[in-house]
Amino acid sequence: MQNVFWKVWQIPLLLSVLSLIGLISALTGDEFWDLLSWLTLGIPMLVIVFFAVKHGRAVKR
Amino acid sequence: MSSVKTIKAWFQIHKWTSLICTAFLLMLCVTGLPLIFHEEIEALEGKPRLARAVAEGTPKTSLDLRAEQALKKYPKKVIRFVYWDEHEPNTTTFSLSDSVMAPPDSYTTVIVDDHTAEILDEPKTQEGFMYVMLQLHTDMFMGIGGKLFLGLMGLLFVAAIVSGIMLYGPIMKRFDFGMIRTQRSTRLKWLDMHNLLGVVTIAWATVVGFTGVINTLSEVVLGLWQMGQLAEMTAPYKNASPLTGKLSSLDEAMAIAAKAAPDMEPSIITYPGTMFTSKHHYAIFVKGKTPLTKRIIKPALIDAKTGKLTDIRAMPWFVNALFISEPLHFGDYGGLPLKILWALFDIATIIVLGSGLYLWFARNKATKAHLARMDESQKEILTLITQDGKI
Repeated sequence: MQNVFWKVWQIPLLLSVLSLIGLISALTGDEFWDLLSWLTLGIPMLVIVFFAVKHGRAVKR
Repeated sequence: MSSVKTIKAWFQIHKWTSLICTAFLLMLCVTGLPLIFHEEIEALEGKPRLARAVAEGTPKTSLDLRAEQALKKYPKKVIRFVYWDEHEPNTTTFSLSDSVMAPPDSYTTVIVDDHTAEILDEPKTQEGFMYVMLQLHTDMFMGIGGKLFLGLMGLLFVAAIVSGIMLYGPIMKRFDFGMIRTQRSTRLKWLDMHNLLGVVTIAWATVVGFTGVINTLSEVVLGLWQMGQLAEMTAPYKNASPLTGKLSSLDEAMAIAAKAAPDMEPSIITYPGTMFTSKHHYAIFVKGKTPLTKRIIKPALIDAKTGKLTDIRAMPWFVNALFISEPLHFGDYGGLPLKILWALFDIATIIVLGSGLYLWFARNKATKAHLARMDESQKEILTLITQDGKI
Protein backbone atom coordinates (compact mmCIF):
# COMPACT_ATOMS: atom_id res chain seq x y z
CA MET A 1 0.00 0.00 0.00
CA GLN A 2 2.77 2.42 1.06
CA ASN A 3 4.76 1.49 -2.02
CA VAL A 4 1.84 1.95 -4.38
CA PHE A 5 1.18 5.42 -2.96
CA TRP A 6 4.82 6.38 -3.36
CA LYS A 7 5.01 4.94 -6.87
CA VAL A 8 1.97 6.95 -8.01
CA TRP A 9 2.74 10.19 -6.24
CA GLN A 10 6.50 10.65 -6.15
CA ILE A 11 6.78 12.50 -9.47
CA PRO A 12 3.59 14.58 -9.04
CA LEU A 13 4.71 15.54 -5.52
CA LEU A 14 8.16 16.48 -6.71
CA LEU A 15 6.69 18.61 -9.52
CA SER A 16 4.28 20.29 -7.10
CA VAL A 17 7.05 21.13 -4.65
CA LEU A 18 9.16 22.53 -7.51
CA SER A 19 6.21 24.61 -8.71
CA LEU A 20 5.58 26.01 -5.24
CA ILE A 21 9.25 26.93 -4.84
CA GLY A 22 9.03 28.71 -8.18
CA LEU A 23 5.81 30.52 -7.34
CA ILE A 24 7.22 31.82 -4.07
CA SER A 25 10.86 32.46 -4.99
CA ALA A 26 10.15 35.21 -7.53
CA LEU A 27 8.07 36.96 -4.87
CA THR A 28 10.92 37.12 -2.40
CA GLY A 29 13.54 38.72 -4.61
CA ASP A 30 14.83 39.53 -8.08
CA GLU A 31 17.63 38.15 -10.29
CA PHE A 32 18.65 34.84 -8.66
CA TRP A 33 15.13 34.31 -7.30
CA ASP A 34 13.56 35.06 -10.68
CA LEU A 35 15.95 32.64 -12.35
CA LEU A 36 15.09 29.97 -9.77
CA SER A 37 11.38 30.43 -10.46
CA TRP A 38 11.87 30.12 -14.23
CA LEU A 39 13.78 26.86 -13.75
CA THR A 40 11.47 25.29 -11.19
CA LEU A 41 8.29 26.24 -13.07
CA GLY A 42 9.87 25.32 -16.39
CA ILE A 43 10.45 21.70 -15.33
CA PRO A 44 6.73 20.73 -15.11
CA MET A 45 6.21 22.18 -18.59
CA LEU A 46 9.19 20.23 -19.95
CA VAL A 47 7.77 17.06 -18.37
CA ILE A 48 4.53 17.54 -20.32
CA VAL A 49 6.43 18.16 -23.55
CA PHE A 50 8.65 15.11 -22.91
CA PHE A 51 5.77 12.67 -22.45
CA ALA A 52 3.66 14.17 -25.25
CA VAL A 53 6.56 13.85 -27.70
CA LYS A 54 7.50 10.38 -26.45
CA HIS A 55 4.02 8.99 -27.01
CA GLY A 56 3.44 11.01 -30.17
CA ARG A 57 6.50 9.24 -31.66
CA ALA A 58 5.28 5.84 -30.48
CA VAL A 59 2.15 6.31 -32.60
CA LYS A 60 4.04 7.13 -35.79
CA ARG A 61 6.21 4.04 -35.57
CA MET B 1 -17.52 2.80 2.88
CA SER B 2 -15.95 0.43 0.46
CA SER B 3 -13.17 1.82 -1.67
CA VAL B 4 -15.21 1.38 -4.85
CA LYS B 5 -17.97 3.45 -3.26
CA THR B 6 -15.48 6.12 -2.18
CA ILE B 7 -14.05 6.35 -5.68
CA LYS B 8 -17.56 6.61 -7.14
CA ALA B 9 -18.40 9.41 -4.72
CA TRP B 10 -15.24 11.34 -5.66
CA PHE B 11 -16.07 10.77 -9.30
CA GLN B 12 -19.52 12.31 -8.83
CA ILE B 13 -17.98 15.29 -6.98
CA HIS B 14 -15.39 15.71 -9.73
CA LYS B 15 -18.02 15.49 -12.45
CA TRP B 16 -20.46 17.98 -10.98
CA THR B 17 -18.00 20.58 -9.65
CA SER B 18 -16.25 20.54 -13.06
CA LEU B 19 -19.43 20.62 -15.13
CA ILE B 20 -20.72 23.70 -13.31
CA CYS B 21 -17.51 25.72 -13.44
CA THR B 22 -15.93 24.62 -16.75
CA ALA B 23 -17.64 27.15 -19.05
CA PHE B 24 -16.66 30.04 -16.77
CA LEU B 25 -13.17 28.69 -16.17
CA LEU B 26 -12.61 28.41 -19.92
CA MET B 27 -13.70 32.03 -20.28
CA LEU B 28 -11.34 33.03 -17.43
CA CYS B 29 -8.39 31.14 -18.95
CA VAL B 30 -8.97 32.62 -22.41
CA THR B 31 -9.43 36.22 -21.23
CA GLY B 32 -6.58 35.77 -18.77
CA LEU B 33 -4.13 34.88 -21.54
CA PRO B 34 -3.86 38.42 -23.05
CA LEU B 35 -4.08 39.94 -19.56
CA ILE B 36 -0.83 38.19 -18.55
CA PHE B 37 0.92 40.21 -21.24
CA HIS B 38 -0.99 43.47 -20.85
CA GLU B 39 2.18 45.51 -20.39
CA GLU B 40 3.83 44.01 -23.47
CA ILE B 41 0.66 44.41 -25.55
CA GLU B 42 0.33 48.03 -24.49
CA ALA B 43 3.98 48.57 -25.42
CA LEU B 44 3.30 47.01 -28.84
CA GLU B 45 0.42 49.40 -29.34
CA GLY B 46 3.16 51.96 -29.67
CA LYS B 47 3.33 53.86 -26.43
CA PRO B 48 6.87 55.10 -25.84
CA ARG B 49 8.20 55.92 -22.40
CA LEU B 50 6.40 59.03 -21.37
CA ALA B 51 8.85 61.02 -19.24
CA ARG B 52 10.96 63.65 -21.00
CA ALA B 53 14.68 62.95 -21.12
CA VAL B 54 16.48 65.42 -18.84
CA ALA B 55 20.10 66.05 -17.92
CA GLU B 56 21.28 64.02 -14.96
CA GLY B 57 20.80 65.81 -11.68
CA THR B 58 17.84 67.87 -12.88
CA PRO B 59 15.72 68.50 -9.79
CA LYS B 60 12.13 67.32 -9.72
CA THR B 61 9.32 69.83 -9.51
CA SER B 62 7.25 69.94 -6.36
CA LEU B 63 4.33 67.57 -6.12
CA ASP B 64 2.08 70.52 -5.30
CA LEU B 65 3.00 72.11 -8.64
CA ARG B 66 2.26 68.89 -10.50
CA ALA B 67 -1.12 68.65 -8.78
CA GLU B 68 -1.80 72.29 -9.71
CA GLN B 69 -1.04 71.53 -13.37
CA ALA B 70 -3.46 68.61 -13.40
CA LEU B 71 -6.17 70.73 -11.80
CA LYS B 72 -5.51 73.63 -14.17
CA LYS B 73 -6.36 71.31 -17.06
CA TYR B 74 -9.62 70.27 -15.35
CA PRO B 75 -10.62 73.21 -13.15
CA LYS B 76 -14.08 71.77 -12.46
CA LYS B 77 -12.74 68.46 -11.20
CA VAL B 78 -11.08 67.39 -7.96
CA ILE B 79 -8.14 65.08 -7.39
CA ARG B 80 -9.05 61.81 -5.69
CA PHE B 81 -5.88 59.80 -6.03
CA VAL B 82 -2.21 60.39 -6.80
CA TYR B 83 -0.03 57.39 -7.62
CA TRP B 84 3.19 56.28 -9.20
CA ASP B 85 3.27 53.75 -12.01
CA GLU B 86 6.51 51.80 -11.66
CA HIS B 87 6.56 51.17 -15.41
CA GLU B 88 6.55 54.90 -16.15
CA PRO B 89 9.48 56.22 -14.14
CA ASN B 90 9.69 59.96 -13.43
CA THR B 91 5.97 60.49 -13.86
CA THR B 92 3.13 61.06 -11.44
CA THR B 93 -0.44 59.98 -12.17
CA PHE B 94 -3.46 61.94 -11.00
CA SER B 95 -6.96 60.51 -10.95
CA LEU B 96 -9.58 63.27 -11.10
CA SER B 97 -13.36 63.16 -10.78
CA ASP B 98 -16.29 65.57 -10.71
CA SER B 99 -16.44 65.18 -6.92
CA VAL B 100 -14.87 62.96 -4.27
CA MET B 101 -18.21 61.16 -4.01
CA ALA B 102 -18.43 60.32 -7.74
CA PRO B 103 -18.77 56.59 -8.59
CA PRO B 104 -15.45 54.67 -8.53
CA ASP B 105 -15.47 54.10 -12.30
CA SER B 106 -16.03 57.76 -13.16
CA TYR B 107 -12.60 59.33 -13.46
CA THR B 108 -10.08 61.03 -15.73
CA THR B 109 -6.42 60.02 -15.63
CA VAL B 110 -3.69 62.63 -16.10
CA ILE B 111 0.01 61.73 -16.21
CA VAL B 112 2.42 64.55 -15.33
CA ASP B 113 6.18 64.71 -15.86
CA ASP B 114 8.11 64.87 -12.57
CA HIS B 115 10.84 67.17 -13.91
CA THR B 116 8.88 69.58 -16.11
CA ALA B 117 5.40 69.34 -14.53
CA GLU B 118 3.85 69.22 -18.01
CA ILE B 119 0.95 66.95 -18.79
CA LEU B 120 2.29 63.99 -20.80
CA ASP B 121 -0.75 61.86 -21.38
CA GLU B 122 -4.39 61.34 -20.52
CA PRO B 123 -4.79 57.62 -21.13
CA LYS B 124 -8.28 56.28 -21.78
CA THR B 125 -8.30 53.31 -19.44
CA GLN B 126 -11.94 52.38 -19.88
CA GLU B 127 -12.08 51.28 -23.49
CA GLY B 128 -10.43 48.94 -25.96
CA PHE B 129 -9.70 45.23 -26.21
CA MET B 130 -7.71 44.92 -22.98
CA TYR B 131 -10.40 46.74 -21.01
CA VAL B 132 -13.06 44.31 -22.28
CA MET B 133 -10.80 41.34 -21.42
CA LEU B 134 -10.23 42.71 -17.93
CA GLN B 135 -13.91 43.37 -17.25
CA LEU B 136 -14.94 39.92 -18.52
CA HIS B 137 -12.22 38.38 -16.39
CA THR B 138 -13.09 40.23 -13.16
CA ASP B 139 -16.88 40.55 -13.15
CA MET B 140 -18.28 39.92 -16.66
CA PHE B 141 -19.52 43.57 -16.65
CA MET B 142 -21.86 42.71 -13.79
CA GLY B 143 -20.24 44.52 -10.89
CA ILE B 144 -19.75 42.99 -7.49
CA GLY B 145 -22.40 40.31 -8.09
CA GLY B 146 -20.55 39.02 -11.14
CA LYS B 147 -17.27 39.18 -9.25
CA LEU B 148 -18.49 37.13 -6.31
CA PHE B 149 -20.13 34.67 -8.72
CA LEU B 150 -16.77 34.12 -10.43
CA GLY B 151 -15.30 33.65 -6.93
CA LEU B 152 -17.79 30.86 -6.35
CA MET B 153 -16.81 29.29 -9.69
CA GLY B 154 -13.19 29.49 -8.53
CA LEU B 155 -14.08 27.61 -5.35
CA LEU B 156 -15.75 24.90 -7.45
CA PHE B 157 -12.59 24.77 -9.58
CA VAL B 158 -10.49 24.15 -6.45
CA ALA B 159 -12.99 21.45 -5.38
CA ALA B 160 -12.65 19.88 -8.85
CA ILE B 161 -8.86 19.84 -8.41
CA VAL B 162 -9.11 18.17 -5.00
CA SER B 163 -11.56 15.52 -6.25
CA GLY B 164 -9.39 15.05 -9.32
CA ILE B 165 -6.43 14.31 -7.03
CA MET B 166 -8.53 11.72 -5.20
CA LEU B 167 -9.26 9.99 -8.53
CA TYR B 168 -5.72 10.14 -9.86
CA GLY B 169 -4.37 7.65 -7.30
CA PRO B 170 -6.80 4.79 -8.00
CA ILE B 171 -6.55 5.30 -11.79
CA MET B 172 -2.75 5.37 -11.89
CA LYS B 173 -2.20 2.53 -9.42
CA ARG B 174 -1.31 0.09 -12.18
CA PHE B 175 0.37 2.50 -14.59
CA ASP B 176 3.57 4.48 -14.83
CA PHE B 177 3.66 8.25 -14.58
CA GLY B 178 3.19 9.98 -17.92
CA MET B 179 1.50 7.07 -19.65
CA ILE B 180 -0.57 8.09 -22.68
CA ARG B 181 -2.41 5.24 -24.36
CA THR B 182 -2.45 6.51 -27.91
CA GLN B 183 -3.40 3.29 -29.73
CA ARG B 184 -6.50 2.07 -27.97
CA SER B 185 -9.11 4.82 -28.35
CA THR B 186 -9.43 8.58 -28.60
CA ARG B 187 -11.21 8.59 -25.27
CA LEU B 188 -8.38 6.78 -23.47
CA LYS B 189 -5.80 9.06 -25.09
CA TRP B 190 -7.59 12.16 -23.85
CA LEU B 191 -8.21 10.63 -20.43
CA ASP B 192 -4.46 10.06 -20.09
CA MET B 193 -3.69 13.58 -21.34
CA HIS B 194 -6.25 15.00 -18.90
CA ASN B 195 -4.63 13.12 -16.03
CA LEU B 196 -1.05 13.98 -16.99
CA LEU B 197 -1.63 17.70 -17.59
CA GLY B 198 -3.92 17.92 -14.60
CA VAL B 199 -1.48 16.32 -12.17
CA VAL B 200 1.52 18.30 -13.46
CA THR B 201 -0.28 21.63 -13.07
CA ILE B 202 -1.89 20.92 -9.67
CA ALA B 203 0.21 23.37 -7.67
CA TRP B 204 -0.03 26.21 -10.18
CA ALA B 205 -3.77 25.76 -10.81
CA THR B 206 -4.53 25.57 -7.08
CA VAL B 207 -2.50 28.69 -6.29
CA VAL B 208 -3.84 30.73 -9.21
CA GLY B 209 -7.39 29.48 -8.63
CA PHE B 210 -7.35 30.17 -4.92
CA THR B 211 -5.69 33.59 -5.19
CA GLY B 212 -8.28 34.42 -7.86
CA VAL B 213 -11.01 33.61 -5.35
CA ILE B 214 -9.32 35.89 -2.79
CA ASN B 215 -9.18 38.68 -5.40
CA THR B 216 -12.94 38.47 -5.88
CA LEU B 217 -13.28 39.42 -2.22
CA SER B 218 -11.58 42.81 -2.67
CA GLU B 219 -14.76 44.82 -1.96
CA VAL B 220 -15.46 42.71 1.11
CA VAL B 221 -11.89 43.24 2.35
CA LEU B 222 -12.14 46.99 1.72
CA GLY B 223 -15.42 47.15 3.65
CA LEU B 224 -13.99 45.24 6.61
CA TRP B 225 -10.95 47.50 6.70
CA GLN B 226 -13.10 50.66 6.53
CA MET B 227 -15.29 49.47 9.39
CA GLY B 228 -12.35 48.20 11.43
CA GLN B 229 -8.91 49.74 11.29
CA LEU B 230 -9.77 52.90 9.34
CA ALA B 231 -12.67 53.72 11.70
CA GLU B 232 -10.33 53.22 14.68
CA MET B 233 -7.59 55.37 13.20
CA THR B 234 -9.94 58.24 12.39
CA ALA B 235 -12.16 57.95 15.50
CA PRO B 236 -10.94 61.26 17.01
CA TYR B 237 -12.21 63.05 13.87
CA LYS B 238 -15.63 61.45 13.90
CA ASN B 239 -17.41 64.63 14.98
CA ALA B 240 -14.96 67.17 13.59
CA SER B 241 -16.36 69.98 11.47
CA PRO B 242 -16.08 69.49 7.68
CA LEU B 243 -12.82 70.33 5.98
CA THR B 244 -12.89 73.73 4.30
CA GLY B 245 -10.41 75.97 2.49
CA LYS B 246 -7.06 75.05 1.01
CA LEU B 247 -5.63 71.63 1.80
CA SER B 248 -2.18 71.30 3.34
CA SER B 249 0.87 70.75 1.12
CA LEU B 250 1.32 67.37 -0.55
CA ASP B 251 5.10 67.73 -0.46
CA GLU B 252 5.11 68.27 3.28
CA ALA B 253 2.75 65.36 3.79
CA MET B 254 5.10 63.18 1.71
CA ALA B 255 8.12 64.28 3.74
CA ILE B 256 6.33 63.45 6.98
CA ALA B 257 5.28 60.03 5.69
CA ALA B 258 8.84 59.32 4.52
CA LYS B 259 10.12 60.16 8.00
CA ALA B 260 7.54 57.93 9.67
CA ALA B 261 8.36 54.97 7.38
CA PRO B 262 12.01 55.49 6.40
CA ASP B 263 12.67 52.32 4.40
CA MET B 264 9.49 52.45 2.38
CA GLU B 265 8.34 54.33 -0.69
CA PRO B 266 4.99 55.97 -1.47
CA SER B 267 2.58 54.03 -3.66
CA ILE B 268 -0.61 56.10 -3.57
CA ILE B 269 -2.02 59.20 -1.92
CA THR B 270 -5.77 59.22 -1.35
CA TYR B 271 -7.49 62.56 -0.84
CA PRO B 272 -9.80 63.37 2.08
CA GLY B 273 -13.35 62.11 1.54
CA THR B 274 -12.42 59.17 -0.72
CA MET B 275 -13.19 55.62 0.33
CA PHE B 276 -9.66 54.88 1.50
CA THR B 277 -9.40 57.57 4.18
CA SER B 278 -11.43 59.91 6.41
CA LYS B 279 -13.01 63.20 5.41
CA HIS B 280 -10.10 65.01 7.09
CA HIS B 281 -6.97 63.11 6.13
CA TYR B 282 -4.69 62.45 3.26
CA ALA B 283 -3.85 58.76 3.46
CA ILE B 284 -0.39 58.10 2.09
CA PHE B 285 0.04 54.39 1.53
CA VAL B 286 3.70 53.41 1.68
CA LYS B 287 5.14 50.11 0.49
CA GLY B 288 8.34 48.08 0.88
CA LYS B 289 10.94 47.59 -1.80
CA THR B 290 11.20 43.85 -2.52
CA PRO B 291 8.62 42.09 -4.74
CA LEU B 292 7.02 40.70 -1.57
CA THR B 293 7.16 43.69 0.80
CA LYS B 294 6.04 45.92 -2.07
CA ARG B 295 2.65 44.28 -1.57
CA ILE B 296 2.50 44.99 2.15
CA ILE B 297 1.38 48.57 2.46
CA LYS B 298 0.93 50.88 5.43
CA PRO B 299 -1.44 53.83 5.59
CA ALA B 300 -0.03 57.07 7.05
CA LEU B 301 -2.87 59.43 7.89
CA ILE B 302 -2.03 63.10 7.62
CA ASP B 303 -4.42 65.82 8.73
CA ALA B 304 -5.12 67.73 5.51
CA LYS B 305 -5.63 70.98 7.43
CA THR B 306 -2.73 71.04 9.89
CA GLY B 307 -0.44 68.83 7.83
CA LYS B 308 0.41 66.70 10.88
CA LEU B 309 0.75 62.91 10.98
CA THR B 310 -2.02 61.51 13.17
CA ASP B 311 -1.47 57.76 12.75
CA ILE B 312 0.46 55.15 10.80
CA ARG B 313 -0.23 51.42 11.12
CA ALA B 314 0.42 48.07 9.51
CA MET B 315 -2.62 46.75 7.64
CA PRO B 316 -4.57 43.84 9.14
CA TRP B 317 -3.70 40.34 7.92
CA PHE B 318 -6.66 39.99 5.57
CA VAL B 319 -5.68 43.11 3.64
CA ASN B 320 -2.10 41.81 3.34
CA ALA B 321 -3.48 38.44 2.20
CA LEU B 322 -5.42 40.19 -0.57
CA PHE B 323 -2.42 42.19 -1.79
CA ILE B 324 -0.03 39.23 -1.68
CA SER B 325 -2.52 37.11 -3.62
CA GLU B 326 -2.56 39.65 -6.46
CA PRO B 327 0.87 38.91 -7.97
CA LEU B 328 0.39 35.17 -7.38
CA HIS B 329 -2.70 35.41 -9.55
CA PHE B 330 -1.30 37.77 -12.21
CA GLY B 331 2.15 36.18 -12.64
CA ASP B 332 3.69 39.61 -13.18
CA TYR B 333 6.44 39.42 -10.58
CA GLY B 334 9.27 37.59 -12.31
CA GLY B 335 9.90 39.20 -15.66
CA LEU B 336 8.85 38.06 -19.14
CA PRO B 337 9.99 34.41 -18.74
CA LEU B 338 7.62 33.98 -15.79
CA LYS B 339 4.80 35.48 -17.85
CA ILE B 340 5.52 33.01 -20.66
CA LEU B 341 5.45 30.14 -18.16
CA TRP B 342 2.20 31.55 -16.78
CA ALA B 343 0.73 31.46 -20.30
CA LEU B 344 1.92 27.86 -20.81
CA PHE B 345 0.33 26.74 -17.55
CA ASP B 346 -2.80 28.63 -18.58
CA ILE B 347 -2.91 26.80 -21.93
CA ALA B 348 -2.31 23.47 -20.16
CA THR B 349 -5.30 24.30 -17.94
CA ILE B 350 -7.42 25.06 -21.02
CA ILE B 351 -6.49 21.61 -22.37
CA VAL B 352 -7.39 19.99 -19.02
CA LEU B 353 -10.78 21.76 -19.03
CA GLY B 354 -11.47 21.00 -22.68
CA SER B 355 -10.47 17.35 -22.43
CA GLY B 356 -12.56 17.01 -19.27
CA LEU B 357 -15.57 18.30 -21.14
CA TYR B 358 -14.84 15.95 -24.06
CA LEU B 359 -14.50 12.99 -21.68
CA TRP B 360 -17.88 13.76 -20.18
CA PHE B 361 -19.51 13.86 -23.65
CA ALA B 362 -17.70 10.71 -24.78
CA ARG B 363 -18.58 8.86 -21.60
CA ASN B 364 -22.20 9.93 -21.91
CA LYS B 365 -22.26 8.65 -25.46
CA ALA B 366 -20.66 5.36 -24.44
CA THR B 367 -23.14 4.94 -21.58
CA LYS B 368 -26.06 5.74 -23.88
CA ALA B 369 -24.85 3.24 -26.46
CA HIS B 370 -24.53 0.69 -23.70
CA LEU B 371 -28.06 1.42 -22.47
CA ALA B 372 -29.38 1.24 -26.03
CA ARG B 373 -27.81 -2.18 -26.45
CA MET B 374 -29.42 -3.28 -23.18
CA ASP B 375 -32.77 -1.98 -24.41
CA GLU B 376 -32.39 -3.95 -27.59
CA SER B 377 -31.56 -7.19 -25.81
CA GLN B 378 -34.38 -6.62 -23.34
CA LYS B 379 -36.81 -6.17 -26.24
CA GLU B 380 -35.58 -9.42 -27.68
CA ILE B 381 -36.06 -11.16 -24.36
CA LEU B 382 -39.52 -9.67 -24.05
CA THR B 383 -40.45 -10.79 -27.55
CA LEU B 384 -39.18 -14.25 -26.74
CA ILE B 385 -41.17 -14.38 -23.52
CA THR B 386 -44.32 -13.09 -25.15
CA GLN B 387 -44.03 -15.49 -28.06
CA ASP B 388 -43.27 -18.35 -25.73
CA GLY B 389 -45.87 -17.70 -23.11
CA LYS B 390 -48.46 -16.40 -25.60
CA ILE B 391 -49.44 -13.57 -23.29
